[in-house]
Amino acid sequence: MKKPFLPRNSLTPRTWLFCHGALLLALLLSFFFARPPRFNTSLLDILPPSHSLKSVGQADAVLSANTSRAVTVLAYAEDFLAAKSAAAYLYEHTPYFDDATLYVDTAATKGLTDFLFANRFNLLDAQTVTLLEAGGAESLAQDALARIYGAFSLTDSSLLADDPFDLTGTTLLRFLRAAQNGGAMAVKDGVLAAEHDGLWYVMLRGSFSPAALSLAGKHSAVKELYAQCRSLTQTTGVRFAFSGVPFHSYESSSQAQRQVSVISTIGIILVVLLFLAIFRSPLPAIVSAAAVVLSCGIGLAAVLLFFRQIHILTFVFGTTLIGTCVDYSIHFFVHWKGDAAVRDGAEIRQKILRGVGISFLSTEICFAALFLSPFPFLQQVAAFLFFGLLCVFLTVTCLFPYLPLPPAETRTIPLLRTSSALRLNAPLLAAFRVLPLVLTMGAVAVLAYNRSSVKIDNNLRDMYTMSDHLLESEKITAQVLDYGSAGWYFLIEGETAQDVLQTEEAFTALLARAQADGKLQSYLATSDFVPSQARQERSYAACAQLLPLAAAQYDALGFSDDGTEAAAFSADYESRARQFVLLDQADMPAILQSVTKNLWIGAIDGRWYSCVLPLHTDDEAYFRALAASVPGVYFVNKTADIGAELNALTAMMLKLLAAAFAVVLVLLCFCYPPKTVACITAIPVITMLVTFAALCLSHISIGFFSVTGVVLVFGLGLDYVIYAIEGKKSDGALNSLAILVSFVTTALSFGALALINFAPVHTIGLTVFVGLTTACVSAFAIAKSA
Amino acid sequence: MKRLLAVLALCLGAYLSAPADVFDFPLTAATQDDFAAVCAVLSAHAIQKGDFTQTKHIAKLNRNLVSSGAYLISRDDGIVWQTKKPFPSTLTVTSAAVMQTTTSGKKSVLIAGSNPTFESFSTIISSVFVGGDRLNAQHFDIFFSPSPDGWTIALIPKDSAVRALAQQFVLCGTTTLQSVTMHEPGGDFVRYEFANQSFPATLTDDEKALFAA
Repeated sequence: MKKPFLPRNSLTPRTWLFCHGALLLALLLSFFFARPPRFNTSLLDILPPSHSLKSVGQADAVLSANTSRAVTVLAYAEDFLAAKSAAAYLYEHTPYFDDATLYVDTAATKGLTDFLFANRFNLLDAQTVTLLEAGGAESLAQDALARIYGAFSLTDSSLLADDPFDLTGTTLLRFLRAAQNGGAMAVKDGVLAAEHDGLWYVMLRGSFSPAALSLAGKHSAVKELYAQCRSLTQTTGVRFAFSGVPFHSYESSSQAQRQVSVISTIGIILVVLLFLAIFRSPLPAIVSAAAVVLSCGIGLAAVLLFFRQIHILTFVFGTTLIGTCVDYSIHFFVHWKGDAAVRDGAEIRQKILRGVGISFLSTEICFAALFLSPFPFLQQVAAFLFFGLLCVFLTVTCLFPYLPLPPAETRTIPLLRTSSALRLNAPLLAAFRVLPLVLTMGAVAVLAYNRSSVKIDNNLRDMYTMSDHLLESEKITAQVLDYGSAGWYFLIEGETAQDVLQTEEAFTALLARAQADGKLQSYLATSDFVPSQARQERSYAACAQLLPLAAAQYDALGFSDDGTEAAAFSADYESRARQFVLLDQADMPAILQSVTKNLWIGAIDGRWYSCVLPLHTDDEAYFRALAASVPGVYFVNKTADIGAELNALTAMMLKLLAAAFAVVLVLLCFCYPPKTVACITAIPVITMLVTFAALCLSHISIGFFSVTGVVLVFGLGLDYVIYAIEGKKSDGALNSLAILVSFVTTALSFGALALINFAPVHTIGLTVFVGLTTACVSAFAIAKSA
Repeated sequence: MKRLLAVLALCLGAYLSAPADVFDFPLTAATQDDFAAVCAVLSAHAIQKGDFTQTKHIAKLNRNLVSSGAYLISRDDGIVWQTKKPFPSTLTVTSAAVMQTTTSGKKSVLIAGSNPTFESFSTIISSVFVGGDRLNAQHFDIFFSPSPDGWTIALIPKDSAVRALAQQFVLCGTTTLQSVTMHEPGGDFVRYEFANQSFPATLTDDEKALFAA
């Protein structure tokens, strides 16, 4: 008597209840001891960290978190007032912003002037400080007088009694110029506006609240904003341009959600119809559907328990469970409906347990391999699939045997009677024996011909295609704002905040030199607005050179020549010793806060970080090398860095696949003779070759997502050959039917994924569809040989 | 010549009803034609140059800073103010930027051309000094009053950002612009008084060089 695959008494409803109950109880308890779980819809979060250094990666993540909620909306029309009114309507009627900025208080410049006046001795720029240190105080004094007496002076003349050298005016001009590096918008009639090609653009900026961003479906903040803007366009003619990560996240995730809804519905309907056609009873369809829903629920519970969040796209990958879950049910129900010899459900379980069990283990080994990748999103998917599959395995083996059997006289499958092609020994199937060889040779030929493009390559730009309207929006915003972002930036790291500012100053000195050489137009750095304490001390010390000239300066400005003003100036100077501007000081003008808040990252795990943004430049290699030359400065190009990280992960995935292959090989050696093991293990090799060839013909590179698909194919593809070999021992026709129906249902779900526009999902869908089709065809042929 | 006579007749006719304050006389349909005639005379020449005296009044210090120099206005190129006394400097307003060159030769771009604040500032300054159809209701609330000595125009910029720099302008003149007073927030004002005006047909090479960036 054949040894049972598992002890029969271990697969009972009690086992099922214990496993499911333990998971759900753990999840329930976690609500009391851990942070509440959440749904994540951010597109960026499915990507790996963009920097290999953990600390820098964390700083980059903080920076991304700050910027990932930020949005810019431009209201534009030929008439400035119409554009302004529309922007004002949005500003007043959008409840989902944490902070929104439309109006600019023209008194803000006065506030900035007052602040700079109070700190005029320690905020001089490096060039002026150097001039003073080199004995150029006289020149500075003369230039100040020329400005003061010159036409259209922007200097606040009322400050001259205390600031005869116009230090405030010098610094104000520099600050305003530096702040303008952030874009071409400027204050017009109380708002930030710009004219471009005869149209007036009014800017509304803000950050969506986290709650508003987490809302999905009809309550999505982005969706409501779009609706408001559409309505305003219809009533006023004012149009809108949108820019910011939330719009891209919304478009990609909502499109994925829509497509998943449609695809899941169609997939379920087709599977139900297939079940009804084969089993002529609603019971298999209902029970299998219940198993699918339950397994998805368990997958969700497991992800929430371990990760405290689930990305919406995990569900997209989770749809693959429909196919795999139904496989086990099908193997049960073909015997339930087509095998008149069995006496009860336990006997059916006994018949299918070995094949289903080995398939289950090999698939779970592959999902476990996915879990080992250091990539949270993929770990989520692996956990979802691993526990979902475990659930359906337990459901089929522990609960299904208790389903009542149909009467013996009705236990026949009409489709089986009419289709001799389903029998493994049918002549048609014999022709399939050469098919694996043909497929292998064809794949090798394709890969050899395109060998130059057979390489690991992950290009983020290929993974997301903007919709036409969003692309147009981004183009308009880029043209109007003329922000000039290079798409890459520098992260500055230091042990203290002052350390970071000093490193910034050393680095921006190099940037200034590059600026003079024409390698970049400008840059934004915190230290340009709030210098390090060391630089402020140096600025203050340099101003001492002006004290001997104060009396003559006051005289030139027409003040009394008795030395009173000069003495007061000196006393004021002395009183401001050790007075420094700090980033966290309470009286920092709002205009400065708004500039520095996007650049200053702050402390993370005891180290401090900031960001320096180069503007209007494209010489990436030069600046990468420049950053490498200064300790504490890191060049960050998210697109390239994430691509490189994904390349490394892809290589790791292939190694994990090889490890999983070795483990499965060992498992198979315990179950089958060597020749059979060789036949079984040929399937993944053929499948991988054909899949890579198909990707090559589709101009899809071997990337992270296609290799993820290959891992899934490896696990699922082995199932077919194992079922075929197990079924060959008995119940050949029934088993062939089960394999074919399993393949059709799985191909339906993965083939459907190939129809989704979102590139990563499309790639996985296509990979798995091609791979499984190859595996299924090859399984029949090879099983015959085995 | 007919326009010139019309402006003189206008000034003479208005002599008997000289206004106490130009701001009591917003531009109306009745005065629109006379205002247009003044603007036409102001903008009759593509190039004008002369001497100026600038008086900068600092209200808080109750002090006047007086300087003088030469100016050059080219309708196509921009405006150059060469302050000669007491401290030399040159300020150039072109379509690209507002630049200042000081004694040491240090050139500073005060406002770049891509900045809408610059556009507003440039538009206002050009409108005030070049006149013509640039003095329109799109940019200003306009007040106009003839007086015994000529005419007075007051302009209040409509853009609040510009008003933060210059709350109002008062222009006085006869057949030429005699003075411009720019009132700043806080009570300060700057008065430009013009003399020795001439209207050459073309710029010399040296003058062209002044507009070069």
